[in-house]
Amino acid sequence: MAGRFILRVLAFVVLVGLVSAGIFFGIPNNQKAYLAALQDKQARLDSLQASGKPKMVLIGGSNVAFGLNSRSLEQAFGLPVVNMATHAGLRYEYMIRQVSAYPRPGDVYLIFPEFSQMYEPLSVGTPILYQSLEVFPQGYAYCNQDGLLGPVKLRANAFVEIIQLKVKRSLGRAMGMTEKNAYQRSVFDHYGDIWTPMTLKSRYKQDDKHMEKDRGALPDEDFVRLTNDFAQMAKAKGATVLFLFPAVAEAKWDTGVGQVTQDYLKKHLALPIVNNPADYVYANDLFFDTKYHTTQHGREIRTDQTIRDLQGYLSAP
Amino acid sequence: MLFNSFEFLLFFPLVIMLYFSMPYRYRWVLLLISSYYFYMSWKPEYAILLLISTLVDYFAANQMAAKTDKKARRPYLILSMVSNLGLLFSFKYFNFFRDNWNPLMDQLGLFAHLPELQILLPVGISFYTFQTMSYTIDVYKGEMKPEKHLGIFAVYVTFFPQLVAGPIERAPHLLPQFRQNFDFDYARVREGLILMLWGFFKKLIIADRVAEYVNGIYDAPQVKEGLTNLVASYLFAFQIYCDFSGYSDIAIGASLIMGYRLMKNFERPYFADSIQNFWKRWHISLSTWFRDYLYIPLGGNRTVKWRWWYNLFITFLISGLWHGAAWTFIIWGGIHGALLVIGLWTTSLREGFMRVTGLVRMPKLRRALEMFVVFHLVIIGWVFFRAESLPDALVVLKSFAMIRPAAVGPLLDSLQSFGWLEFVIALGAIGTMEFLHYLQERGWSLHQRVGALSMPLRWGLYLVATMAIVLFGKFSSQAEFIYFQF
Repeated sequence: MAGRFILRVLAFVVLVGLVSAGIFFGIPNNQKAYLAALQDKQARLDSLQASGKPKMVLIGGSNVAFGLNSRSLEQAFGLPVVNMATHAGLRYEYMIRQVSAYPRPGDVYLIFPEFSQMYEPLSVGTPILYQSLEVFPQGYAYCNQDGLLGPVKLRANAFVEIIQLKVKRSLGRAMGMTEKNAYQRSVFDHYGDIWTPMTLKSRYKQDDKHMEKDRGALPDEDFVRLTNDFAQMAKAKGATVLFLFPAVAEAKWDTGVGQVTQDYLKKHLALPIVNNPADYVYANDLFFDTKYHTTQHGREIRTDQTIRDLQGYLSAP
Repeated sequence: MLFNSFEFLLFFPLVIMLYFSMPYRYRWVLLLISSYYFYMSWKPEYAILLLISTLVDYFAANQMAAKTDKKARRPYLILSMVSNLGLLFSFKYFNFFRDNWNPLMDQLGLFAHLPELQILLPVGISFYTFQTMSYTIDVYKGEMKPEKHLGIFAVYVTFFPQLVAGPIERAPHLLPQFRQNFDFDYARVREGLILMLWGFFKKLIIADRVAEYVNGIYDAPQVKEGLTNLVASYLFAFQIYCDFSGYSDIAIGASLIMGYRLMKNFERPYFADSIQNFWKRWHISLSTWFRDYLYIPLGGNRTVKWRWWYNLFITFLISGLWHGAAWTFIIWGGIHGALLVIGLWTTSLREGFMRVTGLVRMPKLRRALEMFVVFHLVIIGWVFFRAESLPDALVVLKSFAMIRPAAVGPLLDSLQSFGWLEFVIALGAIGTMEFLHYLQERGWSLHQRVGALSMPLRWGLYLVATMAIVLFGKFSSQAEFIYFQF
């Protein structure tokens, strides 16, 4: 009886697996997706690396994708720039691992993590992370795979998340619910900056009361360790690594959280902290749709301010 | 370990295979080891609390059994109560007590301040302490004999399917089952699996999906329109039901596969036609616990009217406190206590209303109206349960009273941010669940109906249900079950 039952269960698991695999391979990947820009960013990073010349690499979440003008930074410091940022949901560990093999003498790495990333434990996966693997499978190498089951768990989670994404995308199209927003691969320019939505007006509204959910009393120790390890490794290879706080909408700014974060990081980070977070709190109408996504005007203000702050650390060409 | 985790997907089949391939007499060893592993995969050091609770209650109960005189048994009952409630107070209520004590001392000009304890709330502490307390109370009252086998008693305390969020099992019901020899039974295993599948459907497709919307709204209700807060509150009603009853279904189903029958914990609560009826359908294992170990000892309803109402109110106030160390939970309990008392007080008034309006001759319409009213009263309670603070709860309630036509725009904006497709999936799943509940209310049995289908149809149904969970379940968020915090 039990043997027959086990056979039936196994047959059922195989059936579920076959249907899922049919979806995975049968529905094409969306190469126009926002996260597919990871391919373009990686290609630019590789091409700058292949050129053998020093480069400037911008690292962070969407605050960097939306919030900096790479061309202005390039002109200010004479280094070709690649903006690696797409989404904070990729997790900080991913972002650091993605660039870890690239530091060379003369390179500059600017890290702009979002506040949530400073407080989150590293090992937690996110739907965005798994979804990115649909269009950027090289990303598996940058994901946290700690633990005995780490690699299997990552692949299982990614597989499920990707088939869910594919089915929802197909359903959405069938129901006329296609995304008509600015989040597509085509919105990035060749530096990796986002351009198209910048022409749109601010529609940012205060959507929650916290600057960040207070996940812990202090920034995560692993965040500090990972940053310091990367900075130390890059420095040993002759590169410069600088830490910068992101620009935040004033509606979200919490002086207490900002101060605690700044004090803690000043004490524990073994690399220069370029800016003061309170100086990067901008009016709400300088934000496009979230507390981190600046409008075109907000981006220019932030870029100019960042260049001024960086001048104390980097020399002009 | 969470039921909705990758680890459980490996852990559970492994335990089941070992369980059925093991001689009966050693199964308790497997269950004990797997239960401790299940618990320790969260925070290993807190297993010591489980061990303390197990050893103290085992000792107390066996000492009580050796005494014939109730008076001589009392010190051991007190030992059990003090240790269990002491653990509960230290780990769950101390900081809440301190937060209220220190300002009071300031007001009185005294400086007897208490320090803050930097501790995490041990998962499931309210559940296992209540379960073991019921055991020692039953032994004290002479309603059952103590368990002599420490290992089997330890399994009763730690049994992994129901350890962290119930159902809170009574010893006379569950303990003897650990001495029974359960063979593999195809029909029973299938019933357990269907129940687990149903639980995962509720948790992963409804509760965790709806949570994303509800959390976003309840994070800052003061900047939201009343209509948006109202929709979030409706959705929270389904979130909490699907989250908790989903857990119970998985726990009951997992136990059933091994042969153990846990008590029913939910019975379609939103079909209740009175608050009293609601509490016969919601978290049944807790409400019957409070009935048997608090309400009846207080005198229950066998006393004068005012005392009866007082007993009811106090029981619900304490039940609110059981849920969480915050004033919002106490008020939530108080609201339900007050509603019950008001319900009793106005029985003849309501009957009169039914006669005058003619509703007494239209029982279906009457029931529908009563269900509607009860559901909305329950929602008012849920506002306090979900809100992050008392002022937030009041803001939400106040916003309900100020709903205006222009609020439709912000509501649509919030739903668009959530994702229309997500919203459609959530509504579809809630509709499916409530339709099945409706059929069950009419005496329809999901398990029996599915069992009666031909094999291809049955497999087709299993495949559709499983694929629905795979394709629409929220896996990567791995959200904890709400009742873990209690």
